[in-house]
Amino acid sequence: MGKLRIEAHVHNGRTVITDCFFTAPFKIVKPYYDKNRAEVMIMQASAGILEGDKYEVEIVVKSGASLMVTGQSYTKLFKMDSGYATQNVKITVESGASLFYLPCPIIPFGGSSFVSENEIHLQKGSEFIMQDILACGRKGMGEEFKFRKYHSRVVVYENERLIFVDNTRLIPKEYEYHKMGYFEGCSHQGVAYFYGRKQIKSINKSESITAAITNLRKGQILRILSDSGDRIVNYIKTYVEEENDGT
Amino acid sequence: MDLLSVKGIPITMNNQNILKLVQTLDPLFPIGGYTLSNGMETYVQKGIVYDYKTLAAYLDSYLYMLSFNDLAFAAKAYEVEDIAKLDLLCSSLKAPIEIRQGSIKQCSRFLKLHTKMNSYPRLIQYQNQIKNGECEGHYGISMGLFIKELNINLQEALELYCYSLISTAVNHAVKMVPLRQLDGQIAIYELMEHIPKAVTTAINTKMMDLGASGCGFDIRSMQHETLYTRLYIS
Repeated sequence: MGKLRIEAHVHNGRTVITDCFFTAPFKIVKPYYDKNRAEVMIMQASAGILEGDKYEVEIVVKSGASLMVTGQSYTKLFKMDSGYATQNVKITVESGASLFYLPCPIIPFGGSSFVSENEIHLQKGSEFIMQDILACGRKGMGEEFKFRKYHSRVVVYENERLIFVDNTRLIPKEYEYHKMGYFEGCSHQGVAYFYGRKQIKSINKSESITAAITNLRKGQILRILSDSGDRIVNYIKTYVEEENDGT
Repeated sequence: MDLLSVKGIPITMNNQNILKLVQTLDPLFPIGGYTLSNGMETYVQKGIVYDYKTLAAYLDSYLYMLSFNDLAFAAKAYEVEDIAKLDLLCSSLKAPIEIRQGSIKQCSRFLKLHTKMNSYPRLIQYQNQIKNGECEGHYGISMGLFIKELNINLQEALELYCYSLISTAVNHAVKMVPLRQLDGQIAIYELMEHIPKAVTTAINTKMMDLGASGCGFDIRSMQHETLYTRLYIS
């Protein structure tokens, strides 16, 4: 049962974390600054996610504040018997605020079952980037698609009206996802959602990355297949680091 | 004049209603299915689909994906009352722009043709909701509403709808690769036995599972936007 709440405001022209609450296994370290953006790393005292674990994360970014939330290392979903673990993330980004939510890739071990619901509330005039990266398992150990279930939904609202839903639902006993249309022989998939950013016109070239971008009704989405989670992380970073001069 | 839709006459001639569905699903019904490859053109151009075997592999995944997408949207449209809410969810789930717009285009033509031939209240209402901006209009949803108006068995009707989606995909592949017509027909024939299960899955799909995507399918549909030569618009 882990809870985490972060609220960022602007104080004297600088983003400050005014409200920070967490329970084990969450920990966060003192934010550091890159230009005006406060960067917060979520640490996990435990080695990974276990059966029955329930995580609640809430992030609020108030008008004018700029925040980046990252993770410390890959999130491991350990073997579970018949139960599952859940994570609920609720994010609010006010007009004139900016949030980059870049959690680490997730590795589902054999037998794991995980359901994650991400509810994102954006106000017009905000900036938001989020990534969601998944490995097919512990490939190095020959464990591919041995988890029971991985279901992650990202539900995005703009001024309380639904604008985008990403639904990653994988139940390996239903289908062999290494095939065409799904992982296509790769070991990792990634998705990045961009809102309130300068339009990405063409994708960045990178070795061992199959990626494409499209325009959503609001914002853009980048999808990636690769044989390395790190490669996907670094690839998404190239877009995050691009200057944003439009909304 | 469509006698079956006259009030007071019970719809018992289901066979004729099945024929009406067959007409709508016929490739000759001009709603533009022949212009939409739904990513198939990328698969062929990139040399991923190039023979009978790779086409069969594509179809296998495509059928699985359909059971959470267009088949499920049709099943939900048949079931739920709040079509505007379903329509918004559908628009929000269809990420690749060409897939989303293709669905919207097909729906618009579908409704236009039907409202000229008949006057099914659910189709008229959906068309009005699109006109007033309440809905964007998606092909799968209009199909579900049409099946409901026809008062025919949902499972059987969706199996026919599914068949038409598969057969369209195969015809694209046969033209593009190119493949022998016979290979295309064998691919459909071999897949056919799995259609009922895919439809049952679609009917039982929970709202939470609706629109579950395949990363590969999405990427190929998105790559299609920037292919050097394009015969299809998706």
